[in-house]
Amino acid sequence: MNLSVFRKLVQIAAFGFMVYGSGLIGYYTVDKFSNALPALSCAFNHNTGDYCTLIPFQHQMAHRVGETIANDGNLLQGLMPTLITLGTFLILFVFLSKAFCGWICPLGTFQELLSMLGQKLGLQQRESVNEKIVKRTRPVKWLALFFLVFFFPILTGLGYASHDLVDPYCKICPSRILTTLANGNTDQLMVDQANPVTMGFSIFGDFLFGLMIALALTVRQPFCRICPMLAMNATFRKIGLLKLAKNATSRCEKCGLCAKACPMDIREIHTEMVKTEVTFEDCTLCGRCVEFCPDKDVLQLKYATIPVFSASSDYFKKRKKAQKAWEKATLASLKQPTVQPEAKG
Amino acid sequence: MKIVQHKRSSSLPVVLLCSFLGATAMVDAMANTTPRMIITKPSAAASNEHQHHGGHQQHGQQGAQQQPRPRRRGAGKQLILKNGEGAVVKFWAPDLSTTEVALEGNRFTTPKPAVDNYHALIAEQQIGNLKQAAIRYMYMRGKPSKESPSKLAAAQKTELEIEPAPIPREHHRYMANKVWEFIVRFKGEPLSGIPVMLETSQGSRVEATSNDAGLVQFTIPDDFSEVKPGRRKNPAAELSLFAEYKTESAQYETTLSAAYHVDPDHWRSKGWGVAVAGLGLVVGGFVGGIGRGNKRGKKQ
Repeated sequence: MNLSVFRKLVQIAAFGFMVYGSGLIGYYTVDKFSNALPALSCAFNHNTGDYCTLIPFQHQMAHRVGETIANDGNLLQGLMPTLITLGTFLILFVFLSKAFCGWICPLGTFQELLSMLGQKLGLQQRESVNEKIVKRTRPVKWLALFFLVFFFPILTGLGYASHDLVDPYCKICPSRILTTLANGNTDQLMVDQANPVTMGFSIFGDFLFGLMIALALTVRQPFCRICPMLAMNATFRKIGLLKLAKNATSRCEKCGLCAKACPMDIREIHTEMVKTEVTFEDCTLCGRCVEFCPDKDVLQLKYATIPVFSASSDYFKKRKKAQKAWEKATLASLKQPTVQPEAKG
Repeated sequence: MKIVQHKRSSSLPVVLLCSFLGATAMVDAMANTTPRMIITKPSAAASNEHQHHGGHQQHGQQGAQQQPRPRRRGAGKQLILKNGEGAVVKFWAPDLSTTEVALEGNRFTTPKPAVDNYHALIAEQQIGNLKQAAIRYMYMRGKPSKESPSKLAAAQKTELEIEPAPIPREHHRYMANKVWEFIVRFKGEPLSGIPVMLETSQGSRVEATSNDAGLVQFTIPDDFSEVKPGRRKNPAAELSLFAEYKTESAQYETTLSAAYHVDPDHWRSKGWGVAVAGLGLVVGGFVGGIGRGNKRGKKQ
């Protein structure tokens, strides 16, 4: 079993837990998780195994930080819930690092499954997104984190914005719609006509959900590129125990297979020749770059400085063969005699 | 399970209709003159009084005029016990420890909670061979309780009780048009075939009968007379569930009360939601298709 297959199994198991987990661990146990480790899935879903950390952050900005400032209260007291949320997020982050995005996140898994479907339908995904588009897209996640998770909720708490802006990110998040729909609940796929703010956000959220589904069939991980959770993880990536390491050789300059393999189109993995720590801000630690690096130990996933998965030429050959077989098996190819896939990629 | 819904303001025709339909348990319950003991919020009790004087609209207007009160962490909550002048009220913590609460007239204030999570208020009184109980679950703020609300809900707190199955989870609430389930228990054991009446402060009544597992299911009536767009513009109303059970030596009555909220579908359109998502799909398909010429060659 190659790393990609193993990762898919982990992702599917995590998806089941995140979206239907309360059936497994108990309806109320989830609340304890959300209090202790608010860093996972969506609170709008009744059956979720856990909550996304962005929900408490938004509410604490509005109801604690903003209101404390507005009422001339004790700022430390107002910040304390946020610090507790941040602290518990960091506990999880230290162990998982940015692998949350690449291995756990249900929305990331959904997009990968759509990508696989797109490939099987012969919708031909692009090799990689244009470099200019990638670079222009990167700041969006930081803007989403700053404005939607912190700024607007604080403005609401201060009394300068509508109460409907307490959780603006949740109002546009595709995971809110995905996880509820996955439970047969259609309540979140709607246009909220209560006022212009809710209407605007709900229209944008619905549009984004549809856009993400269509794009995921042709482009790898479209929403991940603008997700504020990716920005949150990028902020603290130095303290995570899991890291991507590179020992560049002269062969790296002509190769570039790692960048082509990267679902987030991080070309810097290829071009970086000096730094040994290459967990870039968009990296989700999926490990595909390591899988497709043909040179021994040039790329490695390290956990607390210990290599847990390293590039090797033998693995590369097997992986490439499996990938070719996987890509040949499309619905279109079923009409013609073809080689059966050995493994999926 | 038989469910009948009607408004209190038109009780006579509905009683006749129910009689015609054979909903005898409901007719019996309506004919029962014993006042039921219920724990309510002060505002709900006030609005009920308005309602009895014939004003559904007054309720909405009065509720809308209420100013939101700041919530204080760890503060007690003031409540009203209707028809329970001689009752003993106990405050159950998530760890099942209890504290007796003093009644001041028909009002009482819950003790300052030591921990967060759901607590239960149980009022009990004995009138001859009739034992009445009223239950209300309340979320209190405080330090983490480290207990599951299911432990509190499942515990035997009085002889006859209606157990929420489950109590709404954090971030969720009873809402009109949504289905919720309850279990009727006597001395901790499920009771089957017991008629349960759901009444709302807006005047609706719905009846259902518990199944073999004691389970009874209700769709909460969508009976807010004046709905304004936006959840915060619509104050919560009160619902109560009532059941009774007779043994050879005694009669038991129980109520479970809670707040419920307007169905947001009044100002939300799912059709438009699907249409907008469809538009996103089309645009995404078009944008993704632009680069279709840029196929992966020797991709990884």
